[in-house]
Amino acid sequence: MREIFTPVGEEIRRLKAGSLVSLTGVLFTARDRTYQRILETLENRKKLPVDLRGQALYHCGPLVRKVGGEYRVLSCGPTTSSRLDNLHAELLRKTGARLMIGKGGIGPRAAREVAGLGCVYLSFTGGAGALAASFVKRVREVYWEELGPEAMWALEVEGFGPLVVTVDTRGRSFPAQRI
Amino acid sequence: MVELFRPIAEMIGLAETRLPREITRALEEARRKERNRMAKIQLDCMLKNLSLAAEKKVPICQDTGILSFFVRPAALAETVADEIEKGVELASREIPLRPNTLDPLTGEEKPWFGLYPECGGKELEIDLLVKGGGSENWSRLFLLRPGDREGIVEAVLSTLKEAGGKPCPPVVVGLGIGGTAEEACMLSRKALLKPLGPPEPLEKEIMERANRLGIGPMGLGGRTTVLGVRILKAPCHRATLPVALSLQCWVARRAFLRMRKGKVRIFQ
Repeated sequence: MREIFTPVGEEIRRLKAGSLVSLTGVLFTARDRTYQRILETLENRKKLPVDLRGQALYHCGPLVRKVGGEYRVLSCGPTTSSRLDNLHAELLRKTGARLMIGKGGIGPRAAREVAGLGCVYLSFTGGAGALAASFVKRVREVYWEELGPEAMWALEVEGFGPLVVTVDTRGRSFPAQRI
Repeated sequence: MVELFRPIAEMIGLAETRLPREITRALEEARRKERNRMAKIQLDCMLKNLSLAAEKKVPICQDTGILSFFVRPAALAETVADEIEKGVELASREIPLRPNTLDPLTGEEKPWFGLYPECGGKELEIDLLVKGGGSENWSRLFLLRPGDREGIVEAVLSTLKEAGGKPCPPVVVGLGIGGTAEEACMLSRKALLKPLGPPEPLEKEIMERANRLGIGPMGLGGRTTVLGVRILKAPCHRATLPVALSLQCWVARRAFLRMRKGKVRIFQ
């Protein structure tokens, strides 16, 4: 299994749909309200609290607990990516993030757009929240904490996987899209 | 009435951190039968996740779902409602549960659970169904032509095909057949509380045909799309055939509470 390190660069163009990878670095969780917040911030010509260029966005609303002033992630599996299909491209283009991780796949149009931006979409097993949490070393930071599970959690992970390359930069999907 | 909120919180904790044995067995058996490499990998992740969750006593899935309580006898529902509310509050803090429920229009966070009084039973019985959002989006109601058995199978298969990996397959299919539209919906939920066991002919047919679709675990291919099919039925008007479909993700969570001679028992 190939290991990838964030932030990523052009090496992700070598990833092929259907192969397995693991990720070491930082995951930035982003789901419905996080997407909205990121886009609103940029529309208001404000700066994002963190530079997302080359980073991995994780479609996830983690279950966290505060222990003695520090956050611990208890369960953090992926959420359905296709709910945000009409926003992925805009978000990736405006933030410069290069990886998305989620579950359930994205639609053919979103797949074409994501690939066209030189980005890769990876899948992790849905429901495997405890397993996902076992790869989290610590919560580095939480942005927009008031959004709760939909805040942007920066999670330091080691060997997070197996992740399935589901859409690669050449626009190939796994499994091949049934349209 | 004895104090019940602690046992109720315990029941929620059990449902969130462990799967019923027959569901885990069905996943293990699916793993043995799979020939598809990606399906094996996905099932391995699921099984590993189950051991980790049980060992660490954390929720199997970060989507701790919406909780639906079915209470018998109906006459006790009113008195038990407060205890359930306290039990959910306690579980939300202790397990903990992710705050999942929002006002549908304003988006403001608001706690909510389903409470459904039912007929039957002498001493208190509570059934708990826990269901995440991913699978819930594929709940469907069909009004078919009377007697259209093939239509029932087609309704399930077309929904599964459209859903692909989104409801987190392999799923348990709960079908409510007959009654009225609302009765069919309730039956499809209660069907998900029925432990998997020897299938009825229609359950078997749907399962076999569904598992030939090739959707597989998480929609990444394979022969395991459905872990089991459970059907509950009721007589219906001669002019209609209501069919409600509830898909439950592979994290098929449930728990039961029974009071017998004043003693509480909790199990799955």
